Amino acid sequence: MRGTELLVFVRGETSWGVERAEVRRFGVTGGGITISLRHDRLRADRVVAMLSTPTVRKPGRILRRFWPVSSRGLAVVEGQVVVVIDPLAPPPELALQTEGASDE
Amino acid sequence: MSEEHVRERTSPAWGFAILAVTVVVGFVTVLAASAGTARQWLATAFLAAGAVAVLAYLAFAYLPERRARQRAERVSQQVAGWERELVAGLVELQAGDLVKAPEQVRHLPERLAGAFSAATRALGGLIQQIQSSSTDVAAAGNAVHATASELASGSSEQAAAVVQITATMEELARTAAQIAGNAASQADLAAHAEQTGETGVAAVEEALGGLEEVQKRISAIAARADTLGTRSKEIYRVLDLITEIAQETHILSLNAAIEAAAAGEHGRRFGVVADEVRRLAQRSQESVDSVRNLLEEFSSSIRATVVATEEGGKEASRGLERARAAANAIDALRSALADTARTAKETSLATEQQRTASDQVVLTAKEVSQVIQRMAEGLKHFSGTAERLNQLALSIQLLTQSFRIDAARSLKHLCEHWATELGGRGGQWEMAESQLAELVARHPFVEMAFLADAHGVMAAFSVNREWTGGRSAGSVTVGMNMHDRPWYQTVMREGRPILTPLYDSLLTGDRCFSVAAPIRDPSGAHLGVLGFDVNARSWTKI
Amino acid sequence: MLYPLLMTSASGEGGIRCLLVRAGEYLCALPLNQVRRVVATLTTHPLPGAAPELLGLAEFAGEALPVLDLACLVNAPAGAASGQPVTVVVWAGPPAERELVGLAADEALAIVELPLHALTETRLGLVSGEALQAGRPVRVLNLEHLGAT
Repeated sequence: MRGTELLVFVRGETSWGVERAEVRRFGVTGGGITISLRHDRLRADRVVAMLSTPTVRKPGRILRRFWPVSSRGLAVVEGQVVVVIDPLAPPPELALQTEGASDE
Repeated sequence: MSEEHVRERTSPAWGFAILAVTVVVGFVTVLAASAGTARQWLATAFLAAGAVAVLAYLAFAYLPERRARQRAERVSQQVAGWERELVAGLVELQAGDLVKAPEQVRHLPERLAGAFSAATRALGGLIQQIQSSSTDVAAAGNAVHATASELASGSSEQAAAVVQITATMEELARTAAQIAGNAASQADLAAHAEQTGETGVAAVEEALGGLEEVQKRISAIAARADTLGTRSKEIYRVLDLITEIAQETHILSLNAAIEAAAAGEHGRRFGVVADEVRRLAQRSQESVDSVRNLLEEFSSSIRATVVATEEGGKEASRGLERARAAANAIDALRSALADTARTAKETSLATEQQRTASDQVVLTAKEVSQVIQRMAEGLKHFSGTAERLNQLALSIQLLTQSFRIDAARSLKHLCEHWATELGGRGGQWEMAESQLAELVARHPFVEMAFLADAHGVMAAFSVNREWTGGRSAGSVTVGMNMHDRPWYQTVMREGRPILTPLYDSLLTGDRCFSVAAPIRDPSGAHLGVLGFDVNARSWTKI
Repeated sequence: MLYPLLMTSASGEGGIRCLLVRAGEYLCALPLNQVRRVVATLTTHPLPGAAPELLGLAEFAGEALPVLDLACLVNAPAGAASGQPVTVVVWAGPPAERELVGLAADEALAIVELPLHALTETRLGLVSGEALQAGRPVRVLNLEHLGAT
């Protein structure tokens, strides 16, 4: 996957990436940011940057063995490893909590 | 009565005149007979003259004289009766019975009886007034006595208080003297301590200088140790750097060996070099470790030195602070001692003045004590005078009570009254005790009332419980013989109320006197004697 | 499964060259032909929901590198903290699908050559055999097995 524009954001101690095309809008909730995708909404601590043309490599077997979470792949941005999520099946850790978020 | 007296005086003259005429006539007749005149005529004339003379005597001399003599006898008898009455009245008066005295002279001529009664009444009034005055005097005397006694008691207490004050003041003066002495000693000690304090301050200041020098040196050592510590840290940093380099070299040699292995046979010689590098890195690391260990020991020593110098510095600082505090304390102490010395001197002076004042107070108190003592003595004298006044009033009262007057305050009259009441019973004494009890109850000054019958035997008596305090009458019993008692004898002898002199009551121990009166039935027959004892302490209640 | 590896990488002297590392109290031998690089400990980014053996992802040579805890993989008790911790980048998985994986170790000790006669096959798994090195037991790892599910 190359040439895809990524939205990089941080949740917990991990940097995450989602294809820019999937992102609809941002919202602010108590102490965090809500990222509305086409099919889902994610929770982020902060948005890092919008990056273009990073190299995303699919996760290997060994990684999948120890981290059985669906993802589009891994990218390295300025020395930081970014996990590019599958917008249709985001990790549970990124799921929005039940409290409502106010969309901008 | 004056005309009768004139006639009585003229009647003998008439008799003597007739007798003279008869003598003259007889003499003439005798002369005529001798001269020779007729004897018959002469005899007849003589007889006639004699008869006339006798008749004239009878008519003008004898009969009037006899009538006058009879009249004089009657007057004499009347006068004698009056004299007896007057004497009887005077006897009653002499006995002091101003009630019976007027009764005795009731048959005297009206003017005489009136004058007697008036004199008796005047005497009675005087007696009553004296009685009243004596009571007032006694009351005043009692009041004065009570006041004087109270004042005497108060002055005694006052004297005791003054004595106590004097003792206290003397003690205070002694204490003040002691305090003054102590204060003086304290002042000397404080002055000495102040001098010692100055020496101490100098010594502490010297010690302070030494400690400050020690602190400076310790600070210099600490600075050196700190420098050494800093240098050690720099060496550590160098060692860390060498270690880092050695580790990187180690890793580099490992990677070189890996690459050499990957190069196969061609990389074997390279691998040997890499291994040499690795060994070098390892030796470097070992050397670094050795140096580090040495440095650790060195640093440990430096740290110990630093700690020791820090502790020493702190201890020196603390010592310095303590020395400064001690210097301040000694200085404050010196100042306080100076104040103490000054205060002690002032205290000594003040207590000296206090002692002087106390001495003056003691002198004054002693004078006051003497005055109080004199006043107490005066009050005692005054109290004695009041007591004597009371006794005098009592004597006057007793003197006045020796009269019986028709007044409620006359004890003889009172006794007579109750005796008359009892006399109405005709010698039946069954109910006499209740009557005596009534007497006692109605007259609180009476200690005891008693009744002795015509044989001098105690028939009844009644005791005033307020005087005896509930005690029994002791030796007084119904049936005891009173016949030999002076009051009984006197009453029986004189048949009138009597008053005894003062004596000590057997019942209460107080001074008392007795009043007694005869009891007679309505016909005047003697039935016994009523008496009662009057307590001298309450005679003013009479 | 020692044999193919050992056979292919064995030296002419009948030994196997390995990188000796310490993981906790264990000494582990990584066949040198499977070792890509030894680097100072790489900074890892943890992945939520990962197995305890996976420390996280690190950047190595511009690529994302999964880093596994070697001590955890071999169930080694915790050892001394001295020495310089390293990440050994190794080829893991079957030869046809091998991929780079980082193994976090407490210390990279040396390159050693273990004589074949000293090796004892233990079991089929990551630890394929044991040998004695300077009197201490050394666990020889079969990294091909790491990719097996």
